[in-house]
Amino acid sequence: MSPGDVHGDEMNEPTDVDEAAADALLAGSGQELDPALAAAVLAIRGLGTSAPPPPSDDLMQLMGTAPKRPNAPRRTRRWQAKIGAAAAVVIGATGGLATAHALPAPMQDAISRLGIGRPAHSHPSGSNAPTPNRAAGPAALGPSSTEKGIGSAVVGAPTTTAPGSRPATRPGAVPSTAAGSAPNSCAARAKHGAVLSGVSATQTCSPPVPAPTPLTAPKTTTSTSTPTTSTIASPNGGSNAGGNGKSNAGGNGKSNAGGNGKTKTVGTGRQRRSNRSTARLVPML
Amino acid sequence: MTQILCRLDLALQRAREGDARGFDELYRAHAGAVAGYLRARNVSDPDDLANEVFLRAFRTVHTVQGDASRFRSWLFGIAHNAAIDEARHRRRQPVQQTLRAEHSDVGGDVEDEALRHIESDLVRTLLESLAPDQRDVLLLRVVGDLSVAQTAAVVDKSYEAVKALQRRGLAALRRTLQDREAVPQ
Repeated sequence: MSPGDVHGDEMNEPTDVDEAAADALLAGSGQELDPALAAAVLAIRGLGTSAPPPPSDDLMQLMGTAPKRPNAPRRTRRWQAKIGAAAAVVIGATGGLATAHALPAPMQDAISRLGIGRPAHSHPSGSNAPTPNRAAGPAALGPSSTEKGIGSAVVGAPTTTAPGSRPATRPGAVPSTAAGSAPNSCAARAKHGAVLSGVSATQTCSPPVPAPTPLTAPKTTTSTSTPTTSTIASPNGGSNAGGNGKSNAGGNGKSNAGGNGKTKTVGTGRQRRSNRSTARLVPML
Repeated sequence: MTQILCRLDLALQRAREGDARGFDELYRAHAGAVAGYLRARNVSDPDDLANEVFLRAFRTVHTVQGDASRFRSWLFGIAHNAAIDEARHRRRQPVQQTLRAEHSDVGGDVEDEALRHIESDLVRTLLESLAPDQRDVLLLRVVGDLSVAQTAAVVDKSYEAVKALQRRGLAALRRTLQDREAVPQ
């Protein structure tokens, strides 16, 4: 069938709609000619007046409507405000804790470099004022299960605390001295290093106080000894600090502290032997 | 009307240049009519096929010569061919071939099965009473709002043939209305 042909059955259909009426009806203006037919045409026309279907993703991308998100900027601003408020709270709280000297030592040091608060090694009232020995751990608060003997030795050595030091309020607590309390975190690190390397703590971390002179001023020198190094020596039958049978805190009047490394140079011969045995024990531990 | 055509002419010009605003304007102006035409042609998913029609059109809109009216007839030509392709595709389905066996003489019978998807029962009844060529011509003239010449170009028939088809189509509608004594509100 060539274009323009009609179906065979169409030839028999009545063509009672003339050309002018057909044009008028299809144009929507043939109401007076045939109301029913005009209404039918109008109903068919209504198919084309429906709402546009939602465009597909590809079409939206082509039309540039995909990135449109009317609420996105407002939502972004809201999140930015929340994040800013949270950051302000965190910074304020950190600053307050730093001012109150309540942060951990590394963080306290870091923030003190920003001009907030004071370093962890500093003291509130002066260079020799003691501070609570928080970072020293259980050894500073009292004898632990492994350090009970050492702790009792400390209690029994009351003469080596620095002037102005705060007395221990708990049985077995280590009297905090200017030299011993200042490098809290440093002492802990030194202890750890000493245990690992067999070298005394004062060789790896010097406290920011004048070095003691144990040979010349045995009673007034400050002690940097901590019970921790003595713990290592305890299997040897006696403490490192008490290698001479006396107190941990240099009770022999000559050793600054048995375990702080000074005994390598200033201790007695018996104490040096004790230290050597300690050094031999360290790798075994 | 002239103002709308001027606006659509501007949109067409923007679309030729690849401006997204032109695409958006043309889609809003013609998508409803194209989807309605496809729905009347009993396409299974008229909205999806309308999107496909616009995607094809927008990808080659730079080849369209003429004004917005020419673009509309060209767009309905794409929709017409897409509906025919979809009908052929559906006709290949075994189940649908069985359903179409008794109407195979009239051609385009695939659309009859989907007539139940048309919202208005009256419109469905009226369109069912038409021969496929009559239906195509009437839908393009009424729903597509194309001229006789544009319709002739879309359905690939002569001007006179389209005039005859629309006349006979209207006569068939009148007969159906008289037989059913149904007058649309």
